[in-house]
Amino acid sequence: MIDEAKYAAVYSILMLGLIVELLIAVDRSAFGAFAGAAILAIAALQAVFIFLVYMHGRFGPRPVTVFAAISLLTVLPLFIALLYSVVMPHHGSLP
Amino acid sequence: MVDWHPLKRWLFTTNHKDVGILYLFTSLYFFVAAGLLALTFRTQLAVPSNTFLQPDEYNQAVTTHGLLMLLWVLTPLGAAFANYFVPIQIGARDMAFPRLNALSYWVYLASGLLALSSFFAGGGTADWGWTTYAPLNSTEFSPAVGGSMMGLALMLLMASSIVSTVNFLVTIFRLRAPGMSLMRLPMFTWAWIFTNLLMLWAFPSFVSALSLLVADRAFGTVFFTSTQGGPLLWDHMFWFFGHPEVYVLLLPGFGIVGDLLSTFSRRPLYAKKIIIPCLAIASILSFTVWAHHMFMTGISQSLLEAFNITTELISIPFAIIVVAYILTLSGGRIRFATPMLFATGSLGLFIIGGVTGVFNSSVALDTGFRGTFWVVGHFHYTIVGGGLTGLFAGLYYWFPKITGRMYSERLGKVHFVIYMIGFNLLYFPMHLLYDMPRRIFTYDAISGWGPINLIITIGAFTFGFSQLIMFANLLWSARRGPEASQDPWGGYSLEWGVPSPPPEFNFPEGVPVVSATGVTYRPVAMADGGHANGSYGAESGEEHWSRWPIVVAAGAGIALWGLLMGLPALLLGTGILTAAFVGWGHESLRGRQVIEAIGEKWPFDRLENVSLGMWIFIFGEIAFFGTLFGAYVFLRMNSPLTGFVWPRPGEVHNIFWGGFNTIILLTSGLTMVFALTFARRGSYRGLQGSLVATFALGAFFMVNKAFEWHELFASGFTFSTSTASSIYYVLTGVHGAHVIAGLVALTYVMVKAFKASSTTQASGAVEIFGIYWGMVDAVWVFLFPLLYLL
Amino acid sequence: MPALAPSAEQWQSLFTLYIIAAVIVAGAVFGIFFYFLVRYRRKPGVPEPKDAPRVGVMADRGNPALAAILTALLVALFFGLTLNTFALNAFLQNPPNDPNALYVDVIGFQWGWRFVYPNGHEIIGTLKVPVANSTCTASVRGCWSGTVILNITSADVFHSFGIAIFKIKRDAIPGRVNQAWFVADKVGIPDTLPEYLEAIRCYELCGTGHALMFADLWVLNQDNFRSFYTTGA
Repeated sequence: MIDEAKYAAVYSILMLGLIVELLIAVDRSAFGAFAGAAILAIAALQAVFIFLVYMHGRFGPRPVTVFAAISLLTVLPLFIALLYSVVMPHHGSLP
Repeated sequence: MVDWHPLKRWLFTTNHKDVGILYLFTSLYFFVAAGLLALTFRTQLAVPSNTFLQPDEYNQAVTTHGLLMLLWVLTPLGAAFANYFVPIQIGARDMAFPRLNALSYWVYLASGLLALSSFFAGGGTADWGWTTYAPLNSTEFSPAVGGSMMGLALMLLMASSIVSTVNFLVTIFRLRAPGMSLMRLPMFTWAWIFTNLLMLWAFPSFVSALSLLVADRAFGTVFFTSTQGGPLLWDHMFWFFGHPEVYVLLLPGFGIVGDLLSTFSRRPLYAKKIIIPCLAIASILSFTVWAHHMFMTGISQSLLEAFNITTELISIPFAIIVVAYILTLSGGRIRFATPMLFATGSLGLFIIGGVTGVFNSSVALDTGFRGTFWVVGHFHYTIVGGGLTGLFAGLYYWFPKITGRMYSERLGKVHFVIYMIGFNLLYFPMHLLYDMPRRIFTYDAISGWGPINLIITIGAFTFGFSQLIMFANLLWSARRGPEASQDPWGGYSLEWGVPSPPPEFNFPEGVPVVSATGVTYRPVAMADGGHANGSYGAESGEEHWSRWPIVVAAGAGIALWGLLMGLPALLLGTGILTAAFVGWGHESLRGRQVIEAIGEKWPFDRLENVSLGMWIFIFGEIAFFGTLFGAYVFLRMNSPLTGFVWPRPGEVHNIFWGGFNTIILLTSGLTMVFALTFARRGSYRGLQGSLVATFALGAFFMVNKAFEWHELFASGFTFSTSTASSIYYVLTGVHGAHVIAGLVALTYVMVKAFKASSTTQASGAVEIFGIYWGMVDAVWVFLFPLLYLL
Repeated sequence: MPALAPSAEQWQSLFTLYIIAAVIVAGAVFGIFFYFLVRYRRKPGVPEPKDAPRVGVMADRGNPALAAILTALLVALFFGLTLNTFALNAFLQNPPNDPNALYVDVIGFQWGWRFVYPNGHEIIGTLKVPVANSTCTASVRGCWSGTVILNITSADVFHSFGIAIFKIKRDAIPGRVNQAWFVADKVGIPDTLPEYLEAIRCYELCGTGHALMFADLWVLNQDNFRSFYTTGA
């Protein structure tokens, strides 16, 4: 029974997160500049739960977590550079 | 080898050694093809104002020369040796997934044939340079269907690559012999590990860039033609793949050079414990330098200066390895056999290429070098000098092992001398042409570039001619050469301890057990209690063949060709593909090799082969979706700067409809993990019910999405409306394709679950599928807020 | 040939610096490499070293300090090179704050370069600029100092604008305007100074006409340039 309870609990957390995301999206003004960040943070938490609980099964997390960390780290410079190359000033003007 | 009819053997083999030979012949074939293309454009450039090639022919030639050499020659040639020798070097009987191994090869061949057929697709093939810059790559500026066909060929090749990468990583991490710790692996296997890790994380970026390009060309999205995104988006995505790609090209040859320097100088490798971490650092750094290909794009200078620094930093681990390689020779008794000549030649050429690379790291000097022949000289010294020359050294080195015969040493030396003369005549003068633009089909006499170009062309023909000597030597010697001893060089990797050529299951004396004093062999106990008759794994009834890999590849190739050229072919190909998948699913594993881990498995001790394989695949998917998300970030952040207003949440999409669909998909995730608990606990009805529920929910999700798309189309939000609509459709479309693929796989799992005699029999498949389905959920969990709520 | 612009002169100096560093480093590395190849070649009668590799065995060897020493040396070298690179980059990237500069819009297209002057004049295929004139300062009105600031873009695909003799280059990207600048030191036209013939070229593959996408440079003295600017001749 214990496995089902664990998964059901995670599922409720995922649903809760979804509800909160929808509430924030509907009433953005209350959150101001943090609305987007808050939504993304919730999404990240949901993904972590899916990864750690749903996907792990019975095989310890360490090597795959290392793989995941390296994956994200290598993609991260791309994000940062894309952001940077767009928002930072460059010479000339845009038409 | 088993006494089969040659046609059956070569078409259906799953033996890693045979697959290696297939890769060897095919990659060398493409080498000749791409080399001949180079000779055509070098002829064109030999004298000013030449008319040997028309401008569009010239552009097609340089583009396909690049694509073929990089993607269909160099890495597959490395794969040839990796397929043949990595399992032996680690002490295994075969790869972890022999049928997938054969599949990788046949899909590679199919993709190559598709690429070549793009020449004949009417209007010619891709002619935009291997770098495929936007918007030249769009249908507006390059309407020829051959270009799209090349794009599809590339995506098919990437499919072959991901399968191969998963296979090798599982094999190397899980199937090592007892005592074969990672540190004890030879340089070639280590280089192949990093090559595969690089491919795992870099190739998906290429696939996502190609997906956006194919979407533009085939479906009318506006990623690269819109002024809201366009060229810089392609630049980032392509080079994020493109830079790690050059290390993919370099490493296999570079690793071989290390093993050869040690073997032929009779000295252990210097500081191997430093070399390996240096390779790791270089691999990670390779993802942080890509914008040195974008120094002149006008983006933020402080960002570019950061890339200047990271580019300089990456030369440090390579410099350490080069010095360690040179120090390996000290105190040695160097024997200058042909493999050693090519190994030292490779190292020397790579040093030159590495030095000119430092010039290219300078953001200021790039105002002179960008888009000129200086760059062409640099990358040919590193890739052909470091990469290809090292691989040719490997070809001579392993020739006696593969064939059991020795090549002519004199011809080998002649080849080496002419090769080096030709190489340097061909590529060194390019560094003097740093004012001459690259990829120009002609130049006039007044530029003064004539004489140097003539020398380069003479070098090209010399270099090309030298390879004929090697082909003649090896082809003749394979049949008529003198017999070679088992270990003519005194090598240290395990292939030199087995006969030439190796028997079907590699180790005739038993399981290799490695220790600090050497290798011993532990005979395998047979099921009947006796000991095997010497052969490790020669249990009767095991066969090394399957008919499905080649059929899958044929179906895929025909289907993709038909996607562009006609419905009949598309239907035929899809039909063949479906039949092949069903046939494969039905193929019993009884009587076939099932490769078990019996030795070193760190750090994946508790993860089974198939699970590990699925996890490695998942991380490729993370890189793929990650780069697609990156495209979204770029487009979104770029839009206000060009005056385009991104849709506000709720303006285009119904967030509650999206939210409802999210609930559906997440619930299918829950039913999936319930299926797993039921399977483990032996509850048949629970298992079957959960799987059906998962399928139903997944299908409902897709139907819902189809309605959603329909509504959006009707409201005027189509593929071509804006970059916002383009990225919406591509992200949800690609995710949807993953859901559909999942449902197809789930059908297979359900069939297994319904037919299994016990739930635990099915639980393996349920678990593997559950990992994949979890990923599909996790991706959606990000997609939904990005597209609907932000 | 003396440099025709300060940007070229400075580029040449930096290039020379890198060449010197490259020759020293490559020379040292190749020196040791060839020395070892000769010194340690196999001689008849000399037995193999005791730790020679054999199947299944490769001994450990080597001093890990090697890595630290090399890293320190290279970092020091790169530090020197990079400071110089960044200095030149700052020069090349930042046009001087010069009220007497000439602004020209450069539009690359398949296959040629169109130049648009502030007064609306357009030419295709020739860029006419005033020569460097140090007497032309902010307080002297109505003259050109020779500083030319280019606003570079493309009308269609990805091109790259480069003047090799001045060592300036900038990508010409549709939907984007990139800036570059130069000062020409020497008066001349292609007939009199062959270096100015086809001095401007495209450096990114842009279709079948990429090889033919060039423009001439005309560097004129104040009077000739004023005459061209006002009359278009």
